[in-house]
Amino acid sequence: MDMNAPETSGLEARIEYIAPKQSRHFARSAATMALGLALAVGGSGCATSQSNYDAMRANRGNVVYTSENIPNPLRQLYGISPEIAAELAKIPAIRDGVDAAEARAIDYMAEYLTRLNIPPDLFKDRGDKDSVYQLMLEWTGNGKKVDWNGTLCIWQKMAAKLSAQNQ
Amino acid sequence: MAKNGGKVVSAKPIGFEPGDSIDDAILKKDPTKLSWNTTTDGNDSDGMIITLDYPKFNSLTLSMHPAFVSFRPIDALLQPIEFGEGNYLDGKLTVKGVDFAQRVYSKELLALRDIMRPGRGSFNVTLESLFQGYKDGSFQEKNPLSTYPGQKEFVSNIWRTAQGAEWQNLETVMERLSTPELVELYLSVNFAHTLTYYPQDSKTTFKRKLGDCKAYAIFAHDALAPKGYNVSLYTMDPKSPNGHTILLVDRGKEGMYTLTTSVNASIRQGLVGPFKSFTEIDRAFGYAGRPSINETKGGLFNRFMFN
Repeated sequence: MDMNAPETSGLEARIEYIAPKQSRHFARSAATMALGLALAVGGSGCATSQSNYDAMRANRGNVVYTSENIPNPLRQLYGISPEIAAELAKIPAIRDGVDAAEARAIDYMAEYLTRLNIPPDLFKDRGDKDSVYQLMLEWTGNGKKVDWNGTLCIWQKMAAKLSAQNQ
Repeated sequence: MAKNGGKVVSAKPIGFEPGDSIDDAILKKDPTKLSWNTTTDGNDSDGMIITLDYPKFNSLTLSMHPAFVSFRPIDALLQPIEFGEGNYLDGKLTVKGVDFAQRVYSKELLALRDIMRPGRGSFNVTLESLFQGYKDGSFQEKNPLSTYPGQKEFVSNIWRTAQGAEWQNLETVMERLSTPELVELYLSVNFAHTLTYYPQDSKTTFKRKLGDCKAYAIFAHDALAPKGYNVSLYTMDPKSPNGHTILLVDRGKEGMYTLTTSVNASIRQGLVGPFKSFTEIDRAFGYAGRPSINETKGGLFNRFMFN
């Protein structure tokens, strides 16, 4: 795909708003200052202000996105995979509003994910246990009597050391 | 102990005869090491079903003296892999997935599933990297997940070239360092080692892009503690100029992991573990029998700095 392709008018129409990054940072700083001021006026003190700010920051990740509140630039992608769209909505670059390059990136992602044909249950039951699986190792001697002795070592540096010894 | 974690949960022999064995004693003592001895008469086949708790996209090595073979579990789960004479083996070794469900999904879908693994940060850093790759044009191919190398490597490929404003601000950088693996990656790519003769906080380390072992450990602590990781600083031989400070990541029943990236010659670079005791850690780092201090952030700044 040509990432440098000119933007289409259709794409531009899909961008809800284009916020220059500097303005966004200014807005965020102003919001943070306002929060600090509000807390200071309330007599909460500096420590409380910081902990409230930390809580506010932590809560960013707790927003649950549905078809009702998913940001407009992600609506098409939400139709392809609600889980991915909901996670994308939390990414700072998208959370703070997308510019043209970001809207184009979302379009390319949507196009790619459409091709992958994501099954509805792909992300169910995932988690730490997803890393547990079974492998079968099968050894045959090709008609000869041969030993099969070995070691599986999942500490990579040790494995590298064993490899070096073997050589 | 395993680089970046992982263990052999169990190993079950198939077709073993009297005299053939899996060394359960070694596996019980060190769940990252599985050893076996069998002999085939030429007509039968021997095998094992091993249950692994290990990232599917990371490489595994089987050492079968004098040969060794390496593979990624994800590749074996999707399609059997065969090793033979070309790998200097006397026989033929086939590695394949047991769980058929693993093969229902394509490599790309499994990669996507891995990317969407829940983390502890306020957003998914790996998914952000996929988005960033599309945004900055890093993906020239039409299928960027066909060669997905696992979360850390995937993020690494994007982070190494990322120069955006989000990387110039300590708060937004800290927001992205949501796992010990990502902290290790960030420290090793962005900071250089130098001796410091005064306590250095995260802000200074970030500004200078330089620090000693303790500065690195403090930075890693400040990235991970707010995300709920049980982390502390562990200094071995604190009164000696050759002392060394590392970050401890306590993963409860799984054990403790150590994180250090600042000493060039250390064989314990990166995230290493699990360790069951401080004694084990002291031994691993070459400080057996010497004093040590395990401290949380409250006591950090009154100590001398080491390398």
